[in-house]
Amino acid sequence: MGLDQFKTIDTEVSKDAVSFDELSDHELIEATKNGDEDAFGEIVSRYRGPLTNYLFRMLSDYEESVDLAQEAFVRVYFAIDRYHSGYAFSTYIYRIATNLAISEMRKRKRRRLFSLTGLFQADSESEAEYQPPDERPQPEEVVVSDELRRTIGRAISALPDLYKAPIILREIEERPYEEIAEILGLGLGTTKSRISRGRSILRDKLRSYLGYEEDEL
Amino acid sequence: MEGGAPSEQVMRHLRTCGECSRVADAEQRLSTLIRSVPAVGVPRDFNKRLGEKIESRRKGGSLPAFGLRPGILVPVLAAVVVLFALFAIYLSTASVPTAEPVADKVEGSVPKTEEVPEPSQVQGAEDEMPDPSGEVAGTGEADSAGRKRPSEPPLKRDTVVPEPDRASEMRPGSSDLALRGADPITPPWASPGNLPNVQDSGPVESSFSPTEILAEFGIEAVYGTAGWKVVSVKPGSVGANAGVMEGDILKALDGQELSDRPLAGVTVGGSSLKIERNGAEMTLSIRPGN
Repeated sequence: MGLDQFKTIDTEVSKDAVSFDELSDHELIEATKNGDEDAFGEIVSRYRGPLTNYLFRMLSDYEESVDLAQEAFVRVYFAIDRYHSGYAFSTYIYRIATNLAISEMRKRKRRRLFSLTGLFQADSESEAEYQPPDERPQPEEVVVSDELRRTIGRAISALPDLYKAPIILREIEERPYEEIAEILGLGLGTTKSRISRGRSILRDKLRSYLGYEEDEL
Repeated sequence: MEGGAPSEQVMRHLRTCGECSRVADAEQRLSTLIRSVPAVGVPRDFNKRLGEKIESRRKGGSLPAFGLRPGILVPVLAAVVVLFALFAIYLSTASVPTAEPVADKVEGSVPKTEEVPEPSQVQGAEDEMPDPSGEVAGTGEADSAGRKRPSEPPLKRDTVVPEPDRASEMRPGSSDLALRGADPITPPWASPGNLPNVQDSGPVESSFSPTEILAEFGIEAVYGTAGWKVVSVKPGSVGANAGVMEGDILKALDGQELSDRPLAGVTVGGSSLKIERNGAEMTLSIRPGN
């Protein structure tokens, strides 16, 4: 397929797309390798949302998140012949996205070293970024105010880099521990330990919203 | 509890243990809160822009990011690092006195003969020394003193006897770079005995900002109203070995109060770090060598 056709996937649903729903990620990759770029379009449709969200949680920068999500797909596209089906595709693409995010965070950290004040401006600036409306259904039993959501978002964003990716992958993306370990290239024990530590930091920051007693936990 | 379905055994315990049940409820509340963070959508033109990116990359012929091709990146980086290291070694050893011992050794040991040119000729000859034949270029002409040079045997490196004052010319700091550069002396880095002296890293006075100093210790901290609060400590770093922990408030380094201003005269070679942990003050010993 030509890229012109690929570009119109946003608005068109081809007949083949229906059958794509039934294909696994690996089958779609194989089809892409054989020149079927509609199959790649289906891959993009499956992962663009989760990937953009994941990157947004990591970077707190919507435009950058969209850009890096697209970059991850570009890399998959051009390296598709080297992809091995020994990995789950989601692991593969999340790993690419994680590396991109870490690289971006390092760049920012370097910039921040020259301007320590950036550390203290981050919180107030993050709210100014564009954030499309939430389309994900919320748990019915929880009513969380917008203010609280922003606070939670800031608390996650402020996590040390070491814990941020594991927490987001586990608590928001709800990935299994084993897959998180593979995405981050860590051992299972280390992964669980980082998630636990990240939760502990979040618990401290959100203590007042959790209704904990001082001596609880 | 970190998520996942608890086993029947755990559930049974939770039904009977009030304390664990309370903890489990709190953990569940935390998970629910974290998951309540709203998701962001994707722009409507996501695929279109992606298609354009792919097309432009394809036209470009190669990916701009090296990260995709470690097979190329690694050798290139390795070569750059090796070249840089060699250049750094060269620079660090260029000022090491190397010519002096040789000059002293040869001085007066070989009688000066007719074949031995004047210092100016030595210099001119040695400028050509890279030629493996050892012949002196431009020897077809007589010099100003009327000495005939073409018929003379080729000037060999081992026959060159420097003038007595040449040794001083070859000392470090001599401006006669041509002479020094052409001297047939083993390059400093080729001889183990001539390795540059590495001075003991004794105490060093610094005037860096607290962030830079703390970064050297592997400590990342943010400055707030309470002072410098440790955000993270790199495992295995100097700070970690000294016992600095996340959440510690850093009060003073070497007796100097830590503020947002640069520190003057901090001894990096061995310092004491005063911290506050859980309301209690304590002093940790920072030893960079560890």
